Amino acid sequence: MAVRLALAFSANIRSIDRVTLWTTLPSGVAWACLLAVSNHHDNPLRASLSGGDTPLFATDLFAAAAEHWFLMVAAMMLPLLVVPIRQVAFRSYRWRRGRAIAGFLAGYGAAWMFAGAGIMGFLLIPDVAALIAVPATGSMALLAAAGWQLSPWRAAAMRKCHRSVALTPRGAAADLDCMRFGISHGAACITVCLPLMLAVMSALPGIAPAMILALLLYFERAYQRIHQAVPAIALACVSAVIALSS
Amino acid sequence: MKPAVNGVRVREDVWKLATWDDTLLWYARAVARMRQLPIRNSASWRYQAAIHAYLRNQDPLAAATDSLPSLSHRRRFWNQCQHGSWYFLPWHRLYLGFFEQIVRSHVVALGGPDHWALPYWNYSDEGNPQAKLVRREFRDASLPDGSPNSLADAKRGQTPSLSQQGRQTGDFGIDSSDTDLGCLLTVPFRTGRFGVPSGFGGPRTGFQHSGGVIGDLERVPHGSIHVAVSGWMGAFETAGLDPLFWLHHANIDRLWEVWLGRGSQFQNPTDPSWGAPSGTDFDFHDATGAIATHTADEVIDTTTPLLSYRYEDISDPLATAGLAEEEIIMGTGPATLVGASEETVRLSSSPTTANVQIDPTAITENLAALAEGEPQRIYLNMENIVGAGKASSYKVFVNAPADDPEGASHYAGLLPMFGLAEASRRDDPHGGSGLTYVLDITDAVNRLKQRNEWNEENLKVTFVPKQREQDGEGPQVGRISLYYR
Ligand SMILES: [Cu+2]
Repeated sequence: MAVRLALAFSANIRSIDRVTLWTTLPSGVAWACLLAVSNHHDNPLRASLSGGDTPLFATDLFAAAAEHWFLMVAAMMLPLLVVPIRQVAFRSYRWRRGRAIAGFLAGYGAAWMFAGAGIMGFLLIPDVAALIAVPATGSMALLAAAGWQLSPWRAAAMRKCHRSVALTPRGAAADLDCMRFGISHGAACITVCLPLMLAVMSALPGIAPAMILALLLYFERAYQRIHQAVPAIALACVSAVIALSS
Repeated sequence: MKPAVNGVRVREDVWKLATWDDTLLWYARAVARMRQLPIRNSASWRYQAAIHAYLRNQDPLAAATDSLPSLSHRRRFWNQCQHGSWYFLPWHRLYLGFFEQIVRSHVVALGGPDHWALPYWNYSDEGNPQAKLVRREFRDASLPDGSPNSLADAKRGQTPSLSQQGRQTGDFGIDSSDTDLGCLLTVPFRTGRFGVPSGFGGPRTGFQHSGGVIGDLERVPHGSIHVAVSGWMGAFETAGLDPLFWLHHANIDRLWEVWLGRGSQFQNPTDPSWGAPSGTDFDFHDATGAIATHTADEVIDTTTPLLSYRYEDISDPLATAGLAEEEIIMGTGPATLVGASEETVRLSSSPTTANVQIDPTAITENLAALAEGEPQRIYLNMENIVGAGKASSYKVFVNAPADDPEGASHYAGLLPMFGLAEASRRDDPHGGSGLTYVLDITDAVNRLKQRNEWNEENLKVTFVPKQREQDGEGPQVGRISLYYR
């Protein structure tokens, strides 16, 4: 019985396409880690964002923040990477698919970690830290994110997220192409998603709001009527501000 | 003009109409009236063309007094054309349907018949030696009564000489490579895989599917006719300004009906996102100016009140050519990359040859993955082609000898490059990814093998431009790749 169930399960898994599986699964693991961390103490990034009585950037806290940032990016962004990962995989020779995907993810991850480091550096400025401790800042950030959501610059970055590129088939040039594609895709993703992420993180504590945001970002791409999906997210930000102030 | 039966109007073959038949006369009068209306008016000629695409700096009819609709209105209703997508056919069917309704309302307002329907231009008609010519009603300077002819008021022709020749004789240089109906042999409506042709109707697009690969019908004859007529027809944002555009697209729409009628294996997609009421929907305006929102599943039957038309002739042209039994089945498995060019390839106004290095490891892996007895298909991919300027068609040849670069036995297919500049712009929905074409070259490769002209390590691909007198740099092909299945 157990064997048959296991067989049926594995057959089912195989019928889901592998790229979807291997992006959803690690994303789920990252969410689980984030949940586990948030059970022990308030999430480090939020602690750093909100200032308060936690020392801002103790060495161990910096490492914890980097780890938290990495998990957050993996949890939220991996499910959005199905199309570019498929492209990198199927536009590469079968024998170097794994390597091609790894190159893409390395470039993509580097772009996000670079952005994360930039934010942390910004937060080290004492005035900024003090400003973030003011509760109204979170609401202001949400309103700013709603404005960004409707801007033509974000729309342009979103189009860049749908870009495909020609990859050199082999050699160092192939690795470089995959990495470069990862970086440029990451840059577009950061432009599209980061303002919303930061606003939600600074205004709404806990993992649940981040999960809701991840779902919204996922369905924004899944829903084909982009002219409705985009303002819907902006509206959600404004609603959150109203809810916070009442 | 044929009468309507139970409210279902007949879209007639334009070449079977008498000179200045009522259908064309009323079309001309309605177009003239629509040209008078301001671009803000959804029943105007310019608004109708802008639904397809609009670029202010490319608008040949732009006037200082123009007042455009608001940005949010334009975002929702303009620049909506679906290309490189499985929505290509249903979207254009809706587009033509509402256009026809609007033209008819003008015809009726002018005192004409309410069973007016769009004629179609069957340039592939083997039984008509004039099929590839543009009829005189679209070239004459004036109507029979001497008033100016709005149907002739369009820029056409790949070159100045073709433009002049076309205006005089109707011959704009369309040849049999432009009107080829090989697309009717393709069995699946859509595919969503890398490396394989995207099917008759175009690739599955939307979330988790990247678009871009041009469907077989959309490539030839659709794209090739756009590019051959050229001028306004040669670019997304001006195509709808040429009255011929609508006859061309009526024929493309008719070929969808022809394809469906070829046999039970020729089927529309059944995916919910295409063929269900919950699928992607599209916004238009009807003849009263009211917003009309519809999905692909609503246009499968053209005789419902929404569309209420049928075609004069949807018989299978391949049956008479003895090709009725032939079909190209693409299977469902993925294809694997077995070779690719190492560098980008810049095309020019003279023939360009590029090399595709075939990878021995990839070939071995592909053979291992191939099920026993499964026929192998071979696909040539031209990926991420980008370029600016006027679109121009290229013929592709494989392993063609230097002394005979254009031999029929080495011919692989035609790349019309329609929409090249549009797909290369950063503001294109795919961020300027360019065009990707896939040609099934299985037969061409088999011919090469028979003649011992096949090389296991290298494939030579030659691009020959159809029009030699083009200006500026040609398009750049991001990569040429070879896929086996
Ligand atoms: Cu078209």
